Amino acid sequence: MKSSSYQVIVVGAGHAGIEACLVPAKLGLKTLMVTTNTDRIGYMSCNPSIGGLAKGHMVREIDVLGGQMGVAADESCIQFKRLNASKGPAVRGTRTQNDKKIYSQIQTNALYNQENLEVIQGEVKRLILEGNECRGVELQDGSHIFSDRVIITAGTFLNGVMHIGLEQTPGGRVGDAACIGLSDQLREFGFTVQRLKTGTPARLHKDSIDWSKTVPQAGDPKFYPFSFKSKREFYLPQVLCYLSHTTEQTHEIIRNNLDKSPMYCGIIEGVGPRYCPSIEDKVTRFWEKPTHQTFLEPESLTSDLIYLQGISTSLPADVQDQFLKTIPGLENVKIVRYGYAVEYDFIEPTQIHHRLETRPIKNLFLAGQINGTSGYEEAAAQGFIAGVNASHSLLEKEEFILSRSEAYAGVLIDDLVTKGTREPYRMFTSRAEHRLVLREDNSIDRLAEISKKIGLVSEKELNQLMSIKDERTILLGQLQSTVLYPKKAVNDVISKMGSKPLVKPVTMEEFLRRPEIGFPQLEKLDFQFSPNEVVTEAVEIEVKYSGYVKKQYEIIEQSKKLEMLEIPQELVFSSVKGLSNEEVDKLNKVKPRTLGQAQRISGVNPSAIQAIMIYLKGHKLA
Amino acid sequence: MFDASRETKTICALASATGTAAISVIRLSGPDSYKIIQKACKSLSKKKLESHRVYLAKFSNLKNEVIDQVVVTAFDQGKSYTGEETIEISSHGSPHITKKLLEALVEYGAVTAEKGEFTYRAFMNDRLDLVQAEAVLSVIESQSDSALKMSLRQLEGKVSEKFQSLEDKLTWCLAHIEASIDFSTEGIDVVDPRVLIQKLKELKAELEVLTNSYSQGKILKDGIKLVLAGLPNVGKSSLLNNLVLDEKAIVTDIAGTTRDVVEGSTFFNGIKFNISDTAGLRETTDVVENIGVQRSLKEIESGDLTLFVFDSSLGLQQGDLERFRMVKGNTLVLANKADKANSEKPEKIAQKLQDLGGGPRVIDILPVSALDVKARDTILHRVSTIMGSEKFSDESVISSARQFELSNAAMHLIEQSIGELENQMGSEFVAQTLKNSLLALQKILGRYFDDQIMDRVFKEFCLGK
Repeated sequence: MKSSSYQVIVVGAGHAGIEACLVPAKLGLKTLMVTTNTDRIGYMSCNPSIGGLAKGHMVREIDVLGGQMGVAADESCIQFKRLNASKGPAVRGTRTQNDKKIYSQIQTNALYNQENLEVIQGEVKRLILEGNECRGVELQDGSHIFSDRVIITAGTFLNGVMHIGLEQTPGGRVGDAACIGLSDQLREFGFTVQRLKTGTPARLHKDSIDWSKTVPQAGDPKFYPFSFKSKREFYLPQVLCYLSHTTEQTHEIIRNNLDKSPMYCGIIEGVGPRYCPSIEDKVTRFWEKPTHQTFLEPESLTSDLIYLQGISTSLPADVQDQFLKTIPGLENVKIVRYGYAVEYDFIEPTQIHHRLETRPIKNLFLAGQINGTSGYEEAAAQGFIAGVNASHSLLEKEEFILSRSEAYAGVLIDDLVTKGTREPYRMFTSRAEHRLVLREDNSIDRLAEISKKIGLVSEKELNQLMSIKDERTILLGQLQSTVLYPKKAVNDVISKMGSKPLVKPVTMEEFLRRPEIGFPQLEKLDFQFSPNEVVTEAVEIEVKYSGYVKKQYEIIEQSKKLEMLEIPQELVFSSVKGLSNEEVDKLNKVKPRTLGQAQRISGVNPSAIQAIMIYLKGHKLA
Repeated sequence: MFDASRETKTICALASATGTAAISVIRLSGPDSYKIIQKACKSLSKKKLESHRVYLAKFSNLKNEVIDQVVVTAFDQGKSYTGEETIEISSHGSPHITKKLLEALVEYGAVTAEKGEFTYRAFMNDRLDLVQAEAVLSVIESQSDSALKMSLRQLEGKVSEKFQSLEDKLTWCLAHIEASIDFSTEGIDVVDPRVLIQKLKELKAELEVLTNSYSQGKILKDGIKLVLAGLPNVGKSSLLNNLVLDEKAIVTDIAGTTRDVVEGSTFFNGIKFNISDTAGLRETTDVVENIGVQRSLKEIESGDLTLFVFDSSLGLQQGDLERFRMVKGNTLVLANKADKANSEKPEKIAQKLQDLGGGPRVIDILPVSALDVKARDTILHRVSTIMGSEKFSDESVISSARQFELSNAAMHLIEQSIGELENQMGSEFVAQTLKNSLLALQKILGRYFDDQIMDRVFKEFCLGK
């Protein structure tokens, strides 16, 4: 039996695995990535796009902290969009359509060019455990690889089963085998392991589509890259997507064949994502809607495949053939790969710490879909945080936890470990109670200092981050100290802008708060500043909405009282009087770190929080 | 009460009023209630106590001296007021006996309850929400049928239900705004802003009814406070005595007889009136009297309505007018000694007060005679119409300042959100405003943790509740 040893092993080469293995390697730890298929590193198994509402936020966050996803998304972008552009600045989200081949290539290169990192192909069969400590992994071929830390990012591969109609095939993705054994071992160890389901639509041949019956959709002409390191111009030629829709006829065919859908005849037990429903779900749940939209998205500049966004399905191939042809433009469509559903195991995430280490097994970290999430961005954020924590624990640095008021990534993990999940968890802006201060535009201001501490970004990049931050502070100071007087010449210019003349002196900051005023208008009033959009956009938002933003910071301050009140891990909840049995069970399951976290557990009443607070104070624990 | 050392203790206190009575009731609540009563009452020591049953027994202290023959009622955990195992002891109503019983209970291991601790425990065990906990206090303190009716409605949960329904409606609006943000790209129909504005306006109107009901609730709970003010020796004390049907104030012909504030109360058509007679308002070198004048001014500020009295047989004098200017708030002018032939007519009085410019808001001028028995009816009837207490509704009414402040805050935030929607502000700002409004509503029922609120609710309680 061969054996070798590493400091960190990462299992899986998806979006979580890539971030998870780059962090320790960059920090100088000897790292190994094990994947079942080295040809599919950073593969986009489902939609060929990165970002979106609340997801784009996370990509930017980990980018500032030294993550990889933003760079790859920028460089492979073939259509760019800022979603919710008409809404307020806190809920705007960046999304790119990506050339999935190039994306995967960039990620593969990133891994192979990284010092201290080795990538091997192999299937992990079991964890090597000593008592409740993880010591490495055992591969299919029986070889043992030892390591101080193991991060599992197995995606949909744990006991994965694919469904097309009533036909089932073991596997985590078309063309890739499932990972059998690992989740059974965890279950035997006492973990709660449950099933989830997800699905993907058919891929179509582009030459078989009658494009004249669809509506072309162009991206935004202006590029705001995810990464602060990227150029602010497109790397690749930009393409169109096309809009079409289902018809009454489509719905009728689907309804008539529901008995052949594995989800509707009880074969699939796993819970699917409510927020990304299959077309069978849409037709059944929103039966009154005569039509559902679908976007036809090119998967790559150099491939013939079209991704049919919004029409994920697990109906049998012949039914897919039938109903797809009722969609305008697809009358003669050639299907290259049929849609299918995947059912897989996930570990109930209330069993892991905020640092993403499991509570039952030490040195074992979990990230991505294995924790019940859906989405590349959710996976990447977790992979990154698991990578930092696995490294920090080896380097004897303190654990790395982002709070709910610092980052969406913090909201994501706190939600998972506090509330668990019953369906694939997707991030939404509404999940972040401090949404107004968690914007894409201020991710640098929020996280640059933290990034400096982690030390993943180079000195040059750090200077770049810090100078953006400093320039913003300077510009804000300038706005606050420059006064605009109601002189005739000034008011003439202001009137010409379609704004009300001044009646008393105001600072530039106050003037900028007027809805119709932006930096171009200030320029006309001889306000001197460097017109760097990365700087001005964030400052303008901060100024315009300062009333709300200030209020939000006040609320964050108030909530800190409970967030800072730590609950000692040795506290026995059953000895706290005033807690119901149900509350004790829930608290025991989640083991909240702080009173603030305890308050977010559903089913734990405010009176219980009062009871715990009194107990902690009375026993001098707080 | 907010103290960990107490959390596993069994508490006891006198639940009925102190003083001599036919019977008195002592309440014992906590995990050892049954054990303690079984030690005190030997005849119960071998019995398995059953919930909601009464037992006759002799109660002895640790030295085995029988204190009283008592009736014991048992309540199992989960079936009592507090939600804990509870015992109620009915004894003979002598303060001496109840004192000895309580001493004995402490010897057996109970601790004396703090103010409001029984209700606090009921809240902690999710038997009551905060609005109901506050209602317990108003039920105990209610002094009239209408006040009791209001408090019972609150205790039954009618007001809580109202807040709950407002919370549900607000949540609906918030959920739709959130959906319009997070699902804007999914081709899902989102709610029309006009529909949302309409819903929010309805919600605001409902909250307005509730916040407006506070003036009614406050009157039902605390009564109407009237303050008599005016020059010395114009008959204020006689008026007070007439209004409260008692000789509360000393009446003489000597100006400045009333130096301190004299208070009395009376019921009229089911509403309580608290009336204070103040020292005459005049500038004086007499130290004691001067303190009295200062107190009078303070008293006037704390009242719901000032009754400004002057001697109409003399007409409004320069002195009256100077005093009148010192008065604040809503004022009812009482032209006393109106029965005298030469008394000044209301129109003339009104003219003089108007010419004065400044002074309090005059609601009405009422000619009265302090010595006439009918004056009481005339004045209190007029006050009732002014305060709106004549036509009180049976609807849900709030009577706690805390509930009023929070509902008022919730209402103003909804108003703000309507403005934001009309001005097409970003949805996330509207959502934030509505979330703050929702938080205020949740705090009312205690569904959101805030330790300051808990303190505020329970500190007003008396012992034994």
